[in-house]
Amino acid sequence: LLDEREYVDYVQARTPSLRRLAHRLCGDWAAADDLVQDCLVALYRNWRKAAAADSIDAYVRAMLVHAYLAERGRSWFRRVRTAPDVAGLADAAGRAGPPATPLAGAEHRVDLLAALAKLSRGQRAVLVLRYWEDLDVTQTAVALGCSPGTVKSQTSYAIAALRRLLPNYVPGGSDAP
Amino acid sequence: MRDLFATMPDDPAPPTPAGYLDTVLARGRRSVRRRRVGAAAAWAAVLLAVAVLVVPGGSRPATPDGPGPATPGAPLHRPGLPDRLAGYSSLTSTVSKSPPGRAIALYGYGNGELFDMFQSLVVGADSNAYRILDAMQERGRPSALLAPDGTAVLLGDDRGATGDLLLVDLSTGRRRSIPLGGPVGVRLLAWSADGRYVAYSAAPLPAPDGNGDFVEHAVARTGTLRLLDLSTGRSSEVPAAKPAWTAAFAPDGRRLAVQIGQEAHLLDLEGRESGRVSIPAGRELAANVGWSPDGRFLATVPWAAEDGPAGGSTSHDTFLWRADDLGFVPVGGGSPPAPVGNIVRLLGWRSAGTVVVAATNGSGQLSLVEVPLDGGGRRTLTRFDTGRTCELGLQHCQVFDLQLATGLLPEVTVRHAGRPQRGPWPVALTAGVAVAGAGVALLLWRVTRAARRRRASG
Repeated sequence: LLDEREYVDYVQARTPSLRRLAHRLCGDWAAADDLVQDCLVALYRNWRKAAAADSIDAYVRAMLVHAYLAERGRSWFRRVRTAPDVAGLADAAGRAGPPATPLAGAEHRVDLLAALAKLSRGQRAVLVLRYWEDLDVTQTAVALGCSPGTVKSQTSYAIAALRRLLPNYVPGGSDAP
Repeated sequence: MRDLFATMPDDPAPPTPAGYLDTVLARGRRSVRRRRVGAAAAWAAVLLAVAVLVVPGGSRPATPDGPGPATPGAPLHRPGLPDRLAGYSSLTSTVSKSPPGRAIALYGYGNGELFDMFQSLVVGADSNAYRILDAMQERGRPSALLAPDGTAVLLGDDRGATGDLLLVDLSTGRRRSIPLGGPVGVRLLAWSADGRYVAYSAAPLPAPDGNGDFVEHAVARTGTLRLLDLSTGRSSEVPAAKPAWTAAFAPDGRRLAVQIGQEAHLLDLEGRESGRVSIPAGRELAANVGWSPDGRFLATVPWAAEDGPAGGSTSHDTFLWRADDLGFVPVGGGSPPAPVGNIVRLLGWRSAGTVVVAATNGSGQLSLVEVPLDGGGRRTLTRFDTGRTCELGLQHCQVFDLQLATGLLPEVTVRHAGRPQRGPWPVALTAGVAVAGAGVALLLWRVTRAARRRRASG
């Protein structure tokens, strides 16, 4: 690889944000680190193509999301191993002290993470990208490799599913897909 | 929804595992190496498959010592007959695609009980090459003659009246059209030992009656003898020689015996008659090879059909199985050899005292046998595979229209058959196999790579 120095610089600079996105998708740091590592190895193989892309960040984000979604096709033990430990989260929440805000309290956080874990990977990915990573529909569509229309419909389905899982959640005014 | 996520803090990220970036780099480098090795392996597999499938035979004549151009007209090796002729194969290439070089045998092979799976085959004299004579099949498997030196095949046309004969060079695959001066039905009779002259019978044809072999039968009943000089491509008609039933050249190639009725008319190349030889009733002059190498007698065989020349039934396109006797009549006096029994067809002469014939054994297997005319022991030269390998294994293979390169027989040797060389596979099959092979190689590579990646990632 002729541009390994550039690759290393990029990886060192972007690893924290990639790990954060991977953790939001997987809900588990060990699985997130595995996912990021797979993504970075693939990026190493395709570095020239990535470097020539309009946005390396968008390119790598799409690689990471695709790797996450590809986990659906992998073996059962891999899927089980990367599932988030909601019970562990609940334990951690119990030790987290009083909530800072009514919606961001540990109890609500655990509820949300548990609900996310019960969604399909596609629904979870679209919610994470749209509302946690704060991407617009177009950027989310690029990351997922689908059309903006698909993003909107999947977002709508995901929100509906999430509402069924969070009966105490009162929707605000920004739930438009 | 955005508010809900916005107010949800992330867990504090733990430090990256020790050596995380080094591991990524090591895996990345290994992945690139494997991809390159895999791509190289896949290409190597494709090239190997193409080489294996396409190169053998190639577009050059097969030679006994592998690669190297054949030298037409100047063979370095004694011609050979395989001790066993190969069985049926749909993968045999054609003379056009992969010329076999000079041939020792030309024959029809296969069966047509359920499917038309007949092949017109030539067998190499200097190699174990088998090729389909595609030009012959394109012309409806007509009467044909294999040149005495095995380098060419001359074809009539069984589809109807034809304006030309077709000379197929077995060393190059090239075809030469020899005009006949107008459309006629033709039946090829004999080729002179020096390779220059061909005797054939020609007749205007009635409209096809829908029955097979109408050309052969019509010409056999009414055809007039013509002599073709291959050096000039011109034919001369011998009007008196009609209907010319069978013919055989004298060993010097300057005279011709033509059976008309129950007499063999001895003609020179200008059509002048120098004598007649009576052929016993119910018998006919052995086609093409009936004149002995010493010129002393003519060989005769029973009529191909009970009605003989009057009915027009020839042995063309007829499976070889019926054993009869081979008789002889003197040309200029003297006593001929005694008849020889259990002969399916006379194919040529090893010497004036030894013939090469097709014969069958008790189980019906056809073989080529050397038979001394003095009553000595027979020697089997080669056997045909008449096993149940035709029509998808449903039928026995049958042999018909068998000829040998008569000029090569005096020096022919019998060699171990070995593996038949059938030439390159059909293009569609070759391409399909190459693509499938490449696909399998690629699939194996990807599966192996994925397994290694899974192992590497724990």
